[in-house]
Amino acid sequence: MNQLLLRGARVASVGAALFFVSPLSFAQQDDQDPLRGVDLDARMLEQTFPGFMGSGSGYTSRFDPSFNPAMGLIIDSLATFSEERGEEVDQFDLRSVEINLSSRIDPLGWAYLVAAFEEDEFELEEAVFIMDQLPANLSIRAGKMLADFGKWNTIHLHDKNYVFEDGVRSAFFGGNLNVTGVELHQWTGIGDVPVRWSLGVHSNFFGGHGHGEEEGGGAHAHGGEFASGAIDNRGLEEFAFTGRGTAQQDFGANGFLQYGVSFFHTGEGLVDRHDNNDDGIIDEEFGLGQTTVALDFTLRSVDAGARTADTFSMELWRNQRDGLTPADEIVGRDANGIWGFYQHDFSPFWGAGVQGAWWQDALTDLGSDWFTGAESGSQRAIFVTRNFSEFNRLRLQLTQDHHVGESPSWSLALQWDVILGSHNHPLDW
Amino acid sequence: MKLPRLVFTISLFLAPSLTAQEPLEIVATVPDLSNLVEIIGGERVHVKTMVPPGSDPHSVLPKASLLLKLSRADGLILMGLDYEHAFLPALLEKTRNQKVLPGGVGYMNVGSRIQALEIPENLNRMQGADLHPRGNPHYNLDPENGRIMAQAARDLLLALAPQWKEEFTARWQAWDTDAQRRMRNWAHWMAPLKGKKIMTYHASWPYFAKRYGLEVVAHVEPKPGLAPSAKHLLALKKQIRQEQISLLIMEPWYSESRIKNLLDEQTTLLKLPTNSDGKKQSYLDFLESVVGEMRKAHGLPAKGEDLSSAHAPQSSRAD
Repeated sequence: MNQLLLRGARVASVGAALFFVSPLSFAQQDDQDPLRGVDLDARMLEQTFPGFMGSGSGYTSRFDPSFNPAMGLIIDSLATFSEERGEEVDQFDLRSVEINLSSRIDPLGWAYLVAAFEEDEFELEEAVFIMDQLPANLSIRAGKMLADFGKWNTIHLHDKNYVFEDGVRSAFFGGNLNVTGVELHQWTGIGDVPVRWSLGVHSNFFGGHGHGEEEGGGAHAHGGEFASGAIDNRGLEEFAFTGRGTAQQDFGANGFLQYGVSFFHTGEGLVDRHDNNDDGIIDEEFGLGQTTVALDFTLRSVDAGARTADTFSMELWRNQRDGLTPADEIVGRDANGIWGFYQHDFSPFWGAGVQGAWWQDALTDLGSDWFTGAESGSQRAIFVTRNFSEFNRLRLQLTQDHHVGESPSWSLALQWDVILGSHNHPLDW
Repeated sequence: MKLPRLVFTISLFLAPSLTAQEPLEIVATVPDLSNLVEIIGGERVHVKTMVPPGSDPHSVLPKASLLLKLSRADGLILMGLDYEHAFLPALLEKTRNQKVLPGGVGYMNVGSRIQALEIPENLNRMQGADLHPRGNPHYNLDPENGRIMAQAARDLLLALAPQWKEEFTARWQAWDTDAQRRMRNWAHWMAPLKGKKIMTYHASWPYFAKRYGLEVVAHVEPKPGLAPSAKHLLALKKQIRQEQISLLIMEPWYSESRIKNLLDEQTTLLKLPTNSDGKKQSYLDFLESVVGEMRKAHGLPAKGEDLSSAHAPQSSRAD
């Protein structure tokens, strides 16, 4: 009886082995098989973990690089020759050295990280976890990220078509809107038109590359900074909410027309701290609100038969924010802005374009009229781009900046960007 | 009375969808593959193409409408070997359609069936910006690889709709017979060109050259993906003269102005795409036109003797 059971167990184990082992394991046992003569366990391990037997390309299964994150390094350097307030400012500037890592974590999601060294400071620009396997094409982005606001906010400055940030974004947000929070995304199609939307809730938000709380923590002009400041006991009014809806239609054989609407809103989430006595102690703190709505329109057409391309993009912004009067009364202020650029690529190696921006002063009470009634700033630029390769780019840009309350200034900038390591061609919407 | 009428009306709408077998929605990355899927699939397939005819695949935008097509497709057939690097990875990263993802029943990477040429011995950006780690992806220019492409198209359709096996197999067999007949002609017609030295702008022609015994001695691009420098062009001009290079093949999307000074009386510039134009011109007609253009560039008529009636079909790699 025992022998019968033993025999049954052997038959079952052989059956199980036949069931679980890939037929390829046996199909490959020919004269060319490097594993010929190797016992079955080792064969299975080698086929499951290539390199286990030392026959791979120098890697063991434990250190197979295919599970490592993709890594990239972008060096963004700038030589600027400018005249600011009547003084010449010429400098070479390593504007940023950006490291990015990305990897799928597991079947549920992936993550990426973007960190930059700027002016000898290390700064985490983005650290995002994306759950991308939710039903109905839903996904969740959580962490510190560039908010889904307008067409260009999620693009890092060195990846944009021009050297300097557009004036409207700089005036209203202080740069790219960087947030810490959660965004829910979905894309779908209405007929043959792809559409997507997102909604986000954020506890921290600031413009530029993320000096937010540090910059917001000091004394400064009334309402002049864009940074969240509440640390604890946070109420709903101190969160920020973002949203975007966009659609993209085909334009020609290899182009698209995209349009969208975005908003940013916080009830009292922006902070303004006053050090009335200049003693380093904050005497008063004000929570300020802001609502910004932007309409964006982008036309991109690539002639893949001639390798030329045209890109036109513009955004119209409406900014409503709380401001402080000299008597520390909170008042509502409105300002508008419009910016855009056009670029023609003569080939994959050469391109040229123009950029323009106009915005009303967001810090005065006079900006409620759409195009009049407030002091305004403007920006004009012309640029030429030379791509030596996909990873090596030189750009020359002549810019005239006319900031509110200042005389116009000119600058000539030479930007040199190089990409090391991993790169990709992301979905363009 | 109203309820039965309503039920009848609804059933009229539902009836076709319940009984008819919808055609398969196939996305093909390039026109050559589209053409093969359309021929083998017949009326059983709807095919959408990602790379417009006559286009440089590196310039194709990864736009949202392509994502939508992919998300609604039953199958995806691609060249592979990173040929679609500029747009396909971003789309595959976003789509949730498991059928068209690697490992899915509707995913067919033809490159995985090809014996690739020019696999880099080591990966280093010194070798160029437009590197293909798995080998040169322009295998469609070898008609023998075209037969493998057709088999892949057939296998994809069989995996998706085995109930139409007889139709797909019969159409593929007819195509393959025609392909073999033409290939015998092309081999005969290209024989006088064997050993000719040619130059190409981009490294697109190694498979074709190997098939017909042409020798590719240089490329206008100093490294894949880089524009030629003046120094490199000067060296090429010297090489053309010294080695009596008869032909310079260039894809239509490259600028002729860069190379016009390279050419002399003995060298012909041939502007040839690396894919068919889809619906207007079949894949086999495209290859025949390439053979014809090559012959004309060497002073021969586009077509030679038709051997189809002289020889029976020969066995070859395709099953």
